Amino acid sequence: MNVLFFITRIITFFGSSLRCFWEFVVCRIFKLPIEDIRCFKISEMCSHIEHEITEKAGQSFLLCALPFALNFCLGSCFLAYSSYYVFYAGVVNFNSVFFLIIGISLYSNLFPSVENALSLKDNIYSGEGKNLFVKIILAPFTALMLFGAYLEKYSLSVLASIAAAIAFPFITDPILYVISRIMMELKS
Amino acid sequence: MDENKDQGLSSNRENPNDEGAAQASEKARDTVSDYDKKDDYSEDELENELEHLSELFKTELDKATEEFENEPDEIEIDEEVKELDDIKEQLEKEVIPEDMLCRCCGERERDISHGQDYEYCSHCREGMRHYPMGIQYLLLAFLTVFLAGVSVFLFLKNFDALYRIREAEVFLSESKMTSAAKKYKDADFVFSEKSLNAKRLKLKAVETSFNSISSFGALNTLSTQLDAILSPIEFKLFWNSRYYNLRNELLTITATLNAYSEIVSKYKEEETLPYDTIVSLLEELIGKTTEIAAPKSPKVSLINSGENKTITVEYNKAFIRFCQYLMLLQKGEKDDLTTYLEEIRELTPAYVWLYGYELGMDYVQNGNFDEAENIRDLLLKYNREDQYAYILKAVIFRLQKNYDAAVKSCDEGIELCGDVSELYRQKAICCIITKKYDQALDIMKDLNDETKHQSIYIETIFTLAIAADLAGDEKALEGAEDMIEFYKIEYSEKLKSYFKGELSAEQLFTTGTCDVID
Repeated sequence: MNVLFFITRIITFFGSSLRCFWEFVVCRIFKLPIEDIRCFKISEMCSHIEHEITEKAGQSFLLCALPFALNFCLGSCFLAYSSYYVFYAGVVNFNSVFFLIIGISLYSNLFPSVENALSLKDNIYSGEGKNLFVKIILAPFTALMLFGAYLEKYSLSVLASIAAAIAFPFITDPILYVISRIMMELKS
Repeated sequence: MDENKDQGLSSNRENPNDEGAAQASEKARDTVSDYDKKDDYSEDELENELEHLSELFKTELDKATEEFENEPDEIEIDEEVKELDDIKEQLEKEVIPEDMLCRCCGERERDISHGQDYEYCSHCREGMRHYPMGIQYLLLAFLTVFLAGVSVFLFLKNFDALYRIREAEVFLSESKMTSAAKKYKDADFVFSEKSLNAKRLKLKAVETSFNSISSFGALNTLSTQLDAILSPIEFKLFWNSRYYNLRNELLTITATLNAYSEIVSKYKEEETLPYDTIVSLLEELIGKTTEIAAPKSPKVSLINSGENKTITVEYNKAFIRFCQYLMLLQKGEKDDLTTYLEEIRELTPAYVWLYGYELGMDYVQNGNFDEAENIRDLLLKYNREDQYAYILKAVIFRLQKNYDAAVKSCDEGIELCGDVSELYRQKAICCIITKKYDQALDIMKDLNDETKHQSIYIETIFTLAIAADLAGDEKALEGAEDMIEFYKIEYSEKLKSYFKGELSAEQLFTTGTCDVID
């Protein structure tokens, strides 16, 4: 399982490296001790930074959310061009395929490690005196992080990201309409 | 001196206590100092003294050891000795067990204040907080952000084309096939201008064009387009299988129509076609096979001048039936026509553009409005921009004497399908029946204006004549008669009856064929 996991991380090295970088940034912001900064290692922590587990909910949240948000936004930028061209219009050239690969690579590396996801869950839901409102608000996000972490652990994130890339133009179709209305207004 | 020394030694032996020992030591020191004071001394004397000193040292050491062993608690340990013990203890303490060593440096002790299992010392922990990262990651991040910007720029650059595709998809979902095909072609044109080959758009344009086909001539064009878009290998990919099937279907239909043309062309010299013979010959084609060209790459064909591959297919039965229908229609037989059209419907329900209008009009003329409405709905389901659907709808309402709905259907059709002449004519017919002759005449005059409308056909000229007659516009009537003469059109029996006064305008449009022609 580790070998397959390692291979998928190597294939999506672009997104893996970037996620390591975002996790490093968060660790440095909160001055969390980093135990192993190597990105690629044959273990379940491949493409993740090994750091000291934090007991603060805010830090756990940012450790999960920031790499997710940044990789998602950047991946969406790549897929906005490539998936529309390849799957919507059928234009297959070097640019579109290259950007599609990068977009899929970023989408394959959205979620935190299982350790971080479980740490997030524990910090929000375990123990006494936790804010109920925060628990409710963050429930979908926490569930998503846990689901994604396990998806990645079993090397299914690449397949899911390919499916997401194919479906991307059809799902974001309404956004295309909104953008077109804005552009028409700007032109007029 | 020897006597003194002996005295000193003997006093020590006699009183083995601290005071005695101190005295003996003092005496030994004095003896040595005496020697220092002498200017010269013999070797024997020096040797003897040294022997005495060594004996004295040995005696004192034995004495001290005996005292310590006998009463260790009473012995006072000097501070200097105590310091040595502390250092020894400290040295013993600094030897850290292996399992308590820091995992990182291996020298210092683990900082267990963070937990018993914590693996690092405080010094290393502090260092881990400031762990450096390679500059390649920073460069990678900048590069990614830059490329993301480039990607967004490229997306917005050809946004028009992508929006056209979106519009086409919306039209497709609304079954507006004609508009969808047009939008796909527009989007493809934008990409073509930038030398980009948008295969999916081309394929979708062909597919939607087939679903909204209005002439048989377009069938061959569509199959040629498909061959130009996809290579033989691409045709075999499973997601392109429906385009491969469509291509073969189009070629089969073309082959069937070619076979029909060949049969008819044999009798072109004759005055009237032997309709029954031709129908029989068409019947023989059913079940027979023909060869259609297999997909081939245009690049390969320049190099490989060998035989082209073919695919064996059966003639398209639905089209054979339609050709037979056309023959019987020309012959003037009306009894069995519905049977042929119904069989086409049964064979290929999706070919509603082939049989739909004809079958619907047949039902209408026979008074079977329910079936006619079903056909109308089917036509609209496949293509909401099918002009024939609105014509049929208008005719159904007209014959049901719901003239407002008929006019509304015409207006709806004109809005969706553009300036279709037949829809204007149906509107004029409704106006004639409801005695709005001037309005009807205006519509027909406009319709027969060659500068505005390209398609002028027999029915429009006849309807213009009737409208002009009813409105009392002699000039317009003369113009219509001139056109009939110019185009050498033969008056239909119904029109002759109308001008003879045997048939009213309402009867003309509501009985028989429900139109100006026979």
